[in-house]
Amino acid sequence: MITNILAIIAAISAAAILFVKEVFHAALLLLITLLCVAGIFVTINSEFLAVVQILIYAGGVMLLIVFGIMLTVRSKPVELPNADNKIVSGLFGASLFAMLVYTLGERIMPTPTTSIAPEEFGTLLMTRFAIPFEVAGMLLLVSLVGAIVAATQGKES
Amino acid sequence: MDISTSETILYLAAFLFCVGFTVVLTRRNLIMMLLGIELMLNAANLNLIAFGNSSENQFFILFIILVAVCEAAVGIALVLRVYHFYKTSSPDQISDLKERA
Repeated sequence: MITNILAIIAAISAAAILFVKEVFHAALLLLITLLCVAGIFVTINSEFLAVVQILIYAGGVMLLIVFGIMLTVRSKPVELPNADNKIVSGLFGASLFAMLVYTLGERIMPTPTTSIAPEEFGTLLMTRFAIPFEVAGMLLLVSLVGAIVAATQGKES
Repeated sequence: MDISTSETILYLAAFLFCVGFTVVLTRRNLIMMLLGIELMLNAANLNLIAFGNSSENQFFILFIILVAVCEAAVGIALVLRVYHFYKTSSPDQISDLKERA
C-alpha cells in the first residue's frame, strides 16, 4: 500500500521533469523522486540501501547538480530552449515504455528472498565483498582527482 | 515483499527509465541530461531490487550508486569546463571541434 503511494508520487514528479521550464525546478523534482525511491527501499526491508540512497543521492549528487546549475545559469533565470525534437523523443520514450510494459505483462513475476540486517551488511562489506569495496574506493578517489583536474585545468593557480 | 509489490516496483522502474531516456533525448540542457542519466541509474537499481533483496543484489546496487556518484562528479566538472569555454550549456550549440582563434 505504502509502496504504491510512494511509486505514484515518484512517477508523477519524474514525469513533471519533462514539462518544467527551469533546470532548478527539475533538480527539485528529481530530489522528490530520489526520496520516494529511498522510501520504497525502506518498505521492502532494505534499510541500508535507503540510507545510502538518501546520503549519497539526495545529499551528494543533488548538491553537485545544484552547484552545477548555480555556476552555469546566468544572473536572471534562463528559460530552457524549446527542443525541436520534442515530439520524436517523446514518441521514442513512450514506445520504449509500451514495450517494457508489454514484456512485464508476459513474464512470470519473481519471488523475492528475505533481507539482511545492516550489521550483517557491514560484516559482509569487510569480508566477502572486501575487494569490490576497495576497488570502489579507488574509483572514487580517481574520479575525484579527475574531476578536480578537469574543472581547474588551464587556470593559473 | 510479495509479488504485487515487486510488480509495482518493476513498473515504476520501467517508467522512470523511460522518463530519463526521454529527458536525455530532448537534450535541452547539459545538466538536464545528467539528471536523466541519474534517473535511468535509479531505475536500474529499482529493477534489481524488485527481483529480491538478497545481499548480492544489495551490494550490486551499492556499487551502482558509487559509480553514479563518480559519473556525476566528472560530468559536472566537464559541464562547467564546457560552459566556461562556450558560454552556453545547450548541447545543440556546442558544435565546434576546433578551438576558436
